[in-house]
Amino acid sequence: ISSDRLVAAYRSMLLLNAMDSVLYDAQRQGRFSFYMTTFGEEATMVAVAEAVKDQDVLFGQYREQGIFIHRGVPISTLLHSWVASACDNNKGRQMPQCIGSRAINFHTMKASLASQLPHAVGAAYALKLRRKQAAQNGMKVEEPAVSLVLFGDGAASEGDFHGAVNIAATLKSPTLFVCRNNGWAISTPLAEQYAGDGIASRGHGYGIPHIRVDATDFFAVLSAMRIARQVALEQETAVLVECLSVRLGHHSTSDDSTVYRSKDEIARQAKLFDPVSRLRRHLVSRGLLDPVEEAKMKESARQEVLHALEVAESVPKPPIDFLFEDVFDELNPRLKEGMADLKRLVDEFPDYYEKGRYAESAEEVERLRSEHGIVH
Amino acid sequence: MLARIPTCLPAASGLRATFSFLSKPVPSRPTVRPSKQRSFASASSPPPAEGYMQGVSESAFILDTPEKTLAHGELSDALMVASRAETKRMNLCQAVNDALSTALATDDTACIFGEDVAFGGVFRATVGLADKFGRDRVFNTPLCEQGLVGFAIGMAAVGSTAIAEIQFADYVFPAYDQIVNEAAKYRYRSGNSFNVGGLTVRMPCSAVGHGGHYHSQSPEATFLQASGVKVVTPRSPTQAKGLLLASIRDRNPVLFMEPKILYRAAVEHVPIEDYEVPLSKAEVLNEGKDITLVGYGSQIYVLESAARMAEAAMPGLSVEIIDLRTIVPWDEETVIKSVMKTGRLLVSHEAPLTGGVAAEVASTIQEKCFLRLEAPVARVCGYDTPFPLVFEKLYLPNAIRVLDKIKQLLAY
Repeated sequence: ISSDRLVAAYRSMLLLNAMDSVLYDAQRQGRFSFYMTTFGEEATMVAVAEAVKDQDVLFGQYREQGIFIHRGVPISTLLHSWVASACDNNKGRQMPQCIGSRAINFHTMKASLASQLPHAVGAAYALKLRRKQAAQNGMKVEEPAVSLVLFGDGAASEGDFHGAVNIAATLKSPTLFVCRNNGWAISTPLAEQYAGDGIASRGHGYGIPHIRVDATDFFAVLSAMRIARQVALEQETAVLVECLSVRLGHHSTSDDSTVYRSKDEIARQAKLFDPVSRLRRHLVSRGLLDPVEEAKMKESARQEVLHALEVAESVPKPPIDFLFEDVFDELNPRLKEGMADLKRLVDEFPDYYEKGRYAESAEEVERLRSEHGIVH
Repeated sequence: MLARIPTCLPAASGLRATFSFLSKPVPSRPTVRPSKQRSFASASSPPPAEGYMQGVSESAFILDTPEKTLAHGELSDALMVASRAETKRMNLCQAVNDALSTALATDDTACIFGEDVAFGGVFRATVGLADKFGRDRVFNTPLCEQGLVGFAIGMAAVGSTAIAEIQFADYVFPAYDQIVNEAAKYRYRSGNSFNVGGLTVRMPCSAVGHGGHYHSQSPEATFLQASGVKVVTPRSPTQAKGLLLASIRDRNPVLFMEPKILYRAAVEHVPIEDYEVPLSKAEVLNEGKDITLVGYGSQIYVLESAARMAEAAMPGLSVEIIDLRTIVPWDEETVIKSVMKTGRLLVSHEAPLTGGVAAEVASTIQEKCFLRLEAPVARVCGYDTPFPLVFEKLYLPNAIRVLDKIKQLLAY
């Protein structure tokens, strides 16, 4: 990895940290409903983002905003999603964290666990089949692509994990299963999550290549991901990568982890298992990072997030029509009836319904999205 | 540190506030788009994880003094010596905790398990139970709904009492096969050789203010056709304790759906002794002669709010409100008796319109009370969309929509 890309990776980690800190505080102040920090897993996010190619299809759980940052989705786009403004790619429908982006081929996330694993398997298989057919028909063959799906140590206990990995293995679907084992599933420690040798060892049971990585080491994750991707495509197989880290923050803004783990323990682990300071030490030792530079990077990251938050908050919410659209590809009579009924009531009680909060039309939304440089 | 932003629109709060804006004229100037609008929370703090429903504490149905609790007919019947029964202030979450504690204290085979249950649970419903009863009776399972419900079925199949927790009703679906194909059919398919009567599955449900698609669902209707599983839901702490104990002890598998927005918002004087409230028996919360409103869970307070507004707007009007409490098998008799008196029925729930519980109730009543009906049966429900985050207030079947429908029925 070139020095430039390495510094860019570090910069992404700082931006991610800044976003996490600012938005966690903003949630505490009631500026939006919910947030999940990613402290301890920065290297996983950025290394995965660095290793994937544009054509790879990405699926996540809910703690992967770092990938969006390093793949170039502007902070402003993310913030519009967080506050569910009219510019939100999800049209204001989902909770924070549940982001997606066509531009970086990352399918929109949701709160339910592990259900994305079989999706990734099917996606990789479909793309593999299309490449094969294109080659057979003498047509242009798409660049080889894997699908990559992230999930946690807790989610790996779900039935969908078994279904997905077994199907990927038997159908030879080039899927990268990337488990973010951060030691906790809300309050449930690993000892109560499994009795076996972590998640990686399960790969042996399913007959696929598997590897365990120290995810506080950016280079380790990057190497593992690149090799995994190569193996998946060359051997037409799924690969399981277990990234070991520690969840240094709480599960979410709805959780206070000091109820089930000690503050001293958290502080001790923050010193030992922080991927950001580990990469920092490396960069400094190679003369690639100057402390003054870094302080500037941190401050500008913080300002960028703060500014993006204020801008996103000033934009109206999506138009009321968006409540009813996209249930199917088209509206049906029942949905149209509901829409008409609601609009009648909103016009009759504009104060109660805070009518002025919402944008007025899809056209206004398009204009706002373009004005704010939203990446789809 | 971020500066506090003091400006925000006041949230419509409580019955009084909801009513007050109706009594003043709608302003003619367009509402200004606020520049620092808070999307979700109150002026100074983040939304509590379990949300907070305005207006519940002012409800006439909340038994907020010992006298009210002991005067409640069904409750005083259930107590050993009503006149000497002791009560304690508890919110709905504490009432659930109390019921669980009672269940484990009176039945050695009873166990409570699920995700994050040991430290107290994400809503603290199981706080203190692992310490009190031990980690082999109150424990965490790995993160797997299909597995933990299947495990619960196994315990119940050999005669133990299994109280499983699903962290959010939105996540019950991996366990749907176990509930519908296994638990519901266990007795029937074996010719009554075996059964899982000792199974209870608890789950927080319904809107919470900021839950979006996966922390707000009300999936009760998806179990209507399981044929063999009961679905029960409490509107208040006294109901929660009595219904949960009844559900745990009922000789059939029961899904117990707890409206999470009421966990802290609903506070009553709850009898401290062991008592049960009957299943499959709806409760008439207040009598009326002109129209029947049927609902359950947190929606009861919306119905109450709409009823008060209707009665104030139309002097002389009296509205009858019924809490189904058990959704399946539901108490047809009580609803039929009410509609035969009033001639008008409105059924309301947060869950979507199509194929919801209201559809089931409406079909039954139009069949059994056809000639008595003065108007078609009305349904005021969520729209047929996934539960939308930023549009929650628009989506929910609120008091305005219920009132709007009441007026239509009365004018039919």
